[in-house]
Amino acid sequence: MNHRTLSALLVLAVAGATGCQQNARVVTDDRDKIISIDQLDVQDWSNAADQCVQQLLASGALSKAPTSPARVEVTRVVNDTTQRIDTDLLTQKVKIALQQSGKVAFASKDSRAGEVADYRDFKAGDDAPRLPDYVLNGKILEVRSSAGRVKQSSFVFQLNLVDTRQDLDAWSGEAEVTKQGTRNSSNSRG
Amino acid sequence: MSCLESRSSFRGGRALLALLALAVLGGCYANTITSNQRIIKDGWLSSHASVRVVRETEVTDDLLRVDVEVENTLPYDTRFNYRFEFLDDQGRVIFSPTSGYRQEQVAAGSFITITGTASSPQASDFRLTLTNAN
Repeated sequence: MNHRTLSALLVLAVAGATGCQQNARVVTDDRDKIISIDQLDVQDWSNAADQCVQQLLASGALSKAPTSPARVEVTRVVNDTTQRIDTDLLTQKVKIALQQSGKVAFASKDSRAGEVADYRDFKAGDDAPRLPDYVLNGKILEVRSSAGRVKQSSFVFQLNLVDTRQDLDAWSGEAEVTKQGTRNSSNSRG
Repeated sequence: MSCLESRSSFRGGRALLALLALAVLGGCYANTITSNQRIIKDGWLSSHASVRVVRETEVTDDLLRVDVEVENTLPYDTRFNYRFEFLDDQGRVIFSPTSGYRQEQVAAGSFITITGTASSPQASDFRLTLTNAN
């Protein structure tokens, strides 16, 4: 191999390596976000929350609440997946959307806020406990399968709104996010 | 015609073809705003999808819900991304933590209905963006 060929190969290699690199950037468009096959991505949480909120609002269950806005307490969302995930990624989005609707007020989990509210009730002579009209609980499950090199992961988000007056489910909803492919993708544009 | 001239005209023709192909592809993927300004679409959706608002209703008394039908007139299955945004009576976008692009696939010659529900009673109008995901 002569000197000229070697130089040309070197230039090509440098150009190729530079072309593969990508400078860091802030991604705001969901279509540009990375899609992982075997784990939940940030856009999957808003997708699941959106599905659940749409189902809940369409059900009309909140119109039957004894108070307006209905007092709701988020109890527990069980993570039954292989991943370590913070379920607040789902519940916080659901909370914000439902609070925006004006139909729901969520009970705070802040201990200091609870103490102050207790003190105010005591000073006002009100000894009635602040009981929620509904509790919101749920579960996140994962189902995996594969065919040859193609892998598939499904994440199922189950939420229940329990009417505390009767201990009955006032609403139950389920959202699903399924992803399939042989490798992760840097965006959803295909 | 000499061999040199014929080779040169062949190259010119190839360049012209490449330019034409680029122009056609560029045209296919240009954003199109339909006559209904509330629906914006591009890619195959511009030419091979019939998109129409089926229903605008209110759920839970005062929350706007929109059902939109997307028909794929292509002879093969295809995919698209879509996003609903809701606007108040002054045209301001209402923030929602659950808004974002969703992906749907629609079979050849078939249609699906996509739904968006506003989480705020202030929503009085909507904007739907449909983009190619193939």
